[in-house]
Amino acid sequence: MPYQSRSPHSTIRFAVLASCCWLLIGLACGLGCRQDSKTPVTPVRAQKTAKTTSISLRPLDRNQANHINTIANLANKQAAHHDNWDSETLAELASQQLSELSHLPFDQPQDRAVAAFQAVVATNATMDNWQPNAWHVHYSDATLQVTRTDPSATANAHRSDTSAVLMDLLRSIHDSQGRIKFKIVHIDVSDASFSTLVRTEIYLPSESNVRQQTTHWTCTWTLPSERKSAVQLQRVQVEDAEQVTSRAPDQLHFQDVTANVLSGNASYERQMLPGIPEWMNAAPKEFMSQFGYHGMAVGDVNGDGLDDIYVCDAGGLPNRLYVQQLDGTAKDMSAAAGVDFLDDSVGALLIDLDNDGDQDLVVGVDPVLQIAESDGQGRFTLRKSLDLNTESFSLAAADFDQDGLTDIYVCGYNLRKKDPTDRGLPFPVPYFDATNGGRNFLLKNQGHFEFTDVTSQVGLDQNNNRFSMAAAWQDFDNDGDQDLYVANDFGRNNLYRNDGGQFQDIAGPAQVEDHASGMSVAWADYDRDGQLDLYVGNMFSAAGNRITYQRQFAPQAHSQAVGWMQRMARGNSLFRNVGSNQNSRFEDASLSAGVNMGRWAWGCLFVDFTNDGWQDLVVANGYLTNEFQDDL
Amino acid sequence: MSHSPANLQDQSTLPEYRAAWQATMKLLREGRSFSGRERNCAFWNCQDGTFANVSSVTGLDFADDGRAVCASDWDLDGDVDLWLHNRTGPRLRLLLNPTISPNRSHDSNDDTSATTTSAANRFVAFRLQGTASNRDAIGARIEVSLSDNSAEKQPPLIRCLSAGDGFLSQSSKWVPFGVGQKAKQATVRVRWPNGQFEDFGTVSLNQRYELIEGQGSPQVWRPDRSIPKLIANADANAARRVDASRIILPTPFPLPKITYQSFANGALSKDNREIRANQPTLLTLWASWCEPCVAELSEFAEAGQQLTQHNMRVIALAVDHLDQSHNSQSTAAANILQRIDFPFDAGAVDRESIDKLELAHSILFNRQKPLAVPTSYLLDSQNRICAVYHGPMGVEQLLADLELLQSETSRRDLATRFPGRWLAPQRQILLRAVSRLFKNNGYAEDAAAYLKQDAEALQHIRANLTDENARQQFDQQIAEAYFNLGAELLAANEWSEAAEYFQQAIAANNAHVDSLVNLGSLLAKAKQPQQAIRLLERAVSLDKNAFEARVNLAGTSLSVGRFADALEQYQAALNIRPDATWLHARIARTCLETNQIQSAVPHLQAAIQTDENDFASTLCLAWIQATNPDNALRDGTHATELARRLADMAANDSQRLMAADVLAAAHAENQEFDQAIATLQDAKRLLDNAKRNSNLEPMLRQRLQQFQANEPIRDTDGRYP
Repeated sequence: MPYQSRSPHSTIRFAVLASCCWLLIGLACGLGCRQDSKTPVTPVRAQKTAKTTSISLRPLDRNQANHINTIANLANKQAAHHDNWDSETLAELASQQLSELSHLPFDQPQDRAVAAFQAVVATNATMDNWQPNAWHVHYSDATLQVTRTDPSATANAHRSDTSAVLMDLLRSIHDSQGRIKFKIVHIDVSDASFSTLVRTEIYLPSESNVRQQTTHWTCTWTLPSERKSAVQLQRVQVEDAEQVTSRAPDQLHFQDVTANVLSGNASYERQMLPGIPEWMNAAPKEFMSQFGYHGMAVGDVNGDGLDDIYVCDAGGLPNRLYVQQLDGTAKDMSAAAGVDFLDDSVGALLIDLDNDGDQDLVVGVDPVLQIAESDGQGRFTLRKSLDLNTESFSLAAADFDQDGLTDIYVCGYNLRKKDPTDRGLPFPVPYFDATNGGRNFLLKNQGHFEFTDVTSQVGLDQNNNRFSMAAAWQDFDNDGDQDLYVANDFGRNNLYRNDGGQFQDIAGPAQVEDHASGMSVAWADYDRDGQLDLYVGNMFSAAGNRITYQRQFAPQAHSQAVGWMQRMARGNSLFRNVGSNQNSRFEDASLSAGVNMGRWAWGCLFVDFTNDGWQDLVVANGYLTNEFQDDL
Repeated sequence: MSHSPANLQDQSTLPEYRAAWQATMKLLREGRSFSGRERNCAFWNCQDGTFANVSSVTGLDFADDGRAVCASDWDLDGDVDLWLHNRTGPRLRLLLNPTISPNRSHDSNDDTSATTTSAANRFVAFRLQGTASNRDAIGARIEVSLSDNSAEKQPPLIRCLSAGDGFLSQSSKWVPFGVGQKAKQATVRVRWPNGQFEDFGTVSLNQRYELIEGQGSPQVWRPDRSIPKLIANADANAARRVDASRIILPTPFPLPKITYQSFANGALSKDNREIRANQPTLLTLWASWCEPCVAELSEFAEAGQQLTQHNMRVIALAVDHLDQSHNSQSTAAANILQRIDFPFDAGAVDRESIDKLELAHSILFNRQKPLAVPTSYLLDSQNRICAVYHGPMGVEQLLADLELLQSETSRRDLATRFPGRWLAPQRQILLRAVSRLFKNNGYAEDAAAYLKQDAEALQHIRANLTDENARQQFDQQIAEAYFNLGAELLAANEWSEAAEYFQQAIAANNAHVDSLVNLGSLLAKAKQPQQAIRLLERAVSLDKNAFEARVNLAGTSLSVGRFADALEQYQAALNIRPDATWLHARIARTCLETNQIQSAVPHLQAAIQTDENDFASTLCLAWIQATNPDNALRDGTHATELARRLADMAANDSQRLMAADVLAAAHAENQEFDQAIATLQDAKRLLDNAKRNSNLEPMLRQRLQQFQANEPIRDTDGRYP
């Protein structure tokens, strides 16, 4: 029902009634009473707010982005920081300078680049780098080599160079059409200067030999002064470094063949190539939210053994079923298949729900789970619409009770919003351990497209009040039944161990609560020890890393909350399964394995990139890229 | 970042926290980014427990807002390709894995191909079919043990078949195994979803197999094709723009009150007008310095007759005077319109109207750009926005859209740019929320208008419902809607109108307590106590804890002399809310009305304690303590004290007179007859000064005689005479 039921005006009602009371009493009493002047509340009238902002109206050029006033924008940005972190201001200044370094104008006459460089780097600045003998080969095959600086190497492995070394590095990056990206992950402020720990990623391509460096630099800066507002780099110290050299670049570099595969379909160009930010301009809010939470499912809808793909999309943009043809291209069959749903769709699964050998379709069309039966030829008939009263996210299917029918688990993120136009950010309380999220559902397949909500019955209502984004089934304890891991935004995750169809949340004792902003889950035996390990996509926040380590952070909060907040900013987690049948236990290998920095992660997946038998990882990330560059 | 409150009950920081979230939303609507332009990551398994960052060397580090990632060996060449689904454009990417490339003369149909690419890693892939287990074999665990020439025994490779992992993703049901270079063959064991193990024996490499539960032997599977040669072209897969110049709304949006000062004869007139479209109308915002605007208006002017024939009119509202970056005035706009002989209504729009239109945009669109000119709104004959045009549009488009909007096609379908099927019924814009937004921005009149339309929209929907249950549910909502509207009007002191809507709320749901309370109270105020009492009694019977209902019921009962009822209701109200101490005064006075003086005294004391400036209660208590025949109730000393306080409090002659009278009585009670007489004579002078021919004079004279006879006053009635 699209309407909310509670009155938003109850306070006004009371105010007015109180004044009625007074008037009536006045009538009822004699002389002495008539003096009664105790009006508890007077009616409240809405005050006109003063409009101080100026409107600026410009002629509109249809295809040109609106110009924005930079100063006003910066002011906005300042206003967005509700707490006034001094360290954040410094980090912003340092970040601007680093950004200058990554865009030095080498294309212009020599002195321009030098001048730009000197505006950032002090003339007597030094760069401490590792001696070549401090580098060690960690992996090497015909495809690529991985070398790292040895953390046990002593400080004298460093050598000091002038800033010219840095200039040369930047020039070679520019000349090879590579790039250098900086991210400040920690900041220390002292009286005379401040230093930033900067994650630096360098990409140096060449035809035969593509290099990628991931390093941490400690950059020491002058503090800004009245005389000089810009901060200047005094010293760069390379803390650690990893270099990957791709020896056969074309054998490792994935190729974007999308246009070849999809360009025969009008929907590809018109619907899929524009991003959600474009559609936000052009489509009414009634249709779509701005977050782009639209999933997809790979499956073989016509039984030819070739994978096809079902792509969920925003409201007003039909979901697409692209069916693979013999030549490897794909044909948009969504209309003919009857699955071109226009409703805002989130997650989808292609699974055989009635064991007739074809792939049926499940789509989360909030708040309803839509279930369609396949005829085996790639045409679908809607069989069930289950109103789950929740904002759903990922779907995960498994036969939890081993009755031969595949059951469906649905992540419920938010409590369903009463107001459908109010689909904004969630409102987690408390932010670091929220328990006011939506309910997840386990829908038991009863056959014939009948489903029963057995969530409570099987024990899955334990801690079922979080902001769940993703879930993945896996028999992690290798006892023959499917266990379930659920990744929750704003706090702790769940690991539900399946014991004969009854579940118990053992995330705590198994040490996989992973106190963070969980977005995705993947399972694989990455170390080939025969046990399934767990990877969880979280939100790596550079700002979070900086802020949560500052002393001023959350002065009222107890220390546990601060620890949790720091943990939340750490990024993705890798949990190595070290348990036994009797004792489920995982070891946090995120940092030692070097897989925590997955940025603002969404989808994550174990993939063996080169068929070497070892599972690699891919992480899709990035939250909201809108037209303005400056980030919140 | 604002501090997160520790729990939902922590009211101190909750609003601030919510405001921080909302502020973030607002910035996003304005086009700001939030962790945007982040490059995807890829990590290489170094086989020693560590991973290396290969985001760039794999070419996977697109700066997309990545969301879903699915694995699929799309071209069936033996390595795993990736599908990415992004928020930003391009929203789909198929990334072909270059490990095994058709260009390297590899053919998966050829068992011996492994020899031609001896240095290459090999694979084996399986498709499973459950028979006892679920047909897809979701949950199956496949173990592949490799044997090579070395004696070294490795633990098996493990892959599991899942349906849904990562984020909003489901990967292929083909289960791929990369097996490296050394292995020659592999043995396969499956643990089926029902927990049973099954050995499938040995399989060849660089081959695909079907494994069927219970069959025990793998079946080779080959596609009906060779490996397709797909062409990489990342540049062709690039983001596109969407034309946002014309947007049809799925739900017509009621225009807020838009006012303007009209133009006449090339100048501003004194005529202030409001837009109330009762025929199709194009509302255009423009400025004299905006060339496309002038061109567009000229076109409308030329087509004036044609537009009129279609019952269509234009209202051109100039914004010249509102803009600070252009030094232009409304008269410039008025001049232009006179020059082009603009045949329609025009004027200078006021700033508040522009502000309201921006509010409307924030409701209608996720992305809110600053309002620019020309922006036009196509209004229907019910004064609702049906389409929004950014930039100039022209007569042809206007007439085409007019026809479109009058057609049978649903607005939602017209608003959708692609054919397809909707599953859910259309969502309504919640006018209640619209109302709240306008109210919060200081537009109470618009807020009330939206509430009214909210209620009407509900009525309209209800009228089309056939299911009785659904109707009843709607009645609840309708009642709520009318109540909200009534409450809004109450706040604006529009009492009779408010009463009308409460009446409607009760008509929709005769058990709507809040409406019963409010209507009852308003009727009481309108001196219709019997009707008021009926409604309020009903409210109380529906909700025993309806505090306001009880208070107002008590008040109304008092007004018709039903003192016992009044007392009962007041006392019940006080039980509901013991902190409502202001009730004590009312209870006390009700007690006094029924001559329950003993009961009244503690309430009078409580009333004075609550508010020491409560003149009436102090007066009553002092009078009782000075004059009541009951020895236990009298307290001359305290009465004197109270009477002095009354004198301090007295704000006019009448109160001063009463204070003096009571003080005199208190003195008399204390046997201080001289002082009593003196006080009374002061009072009498006060009365003389007032020169009022009062009936108090005989009373005072009588008191004086009593005091002169050393006789205190005795009054059985607790009320001050």
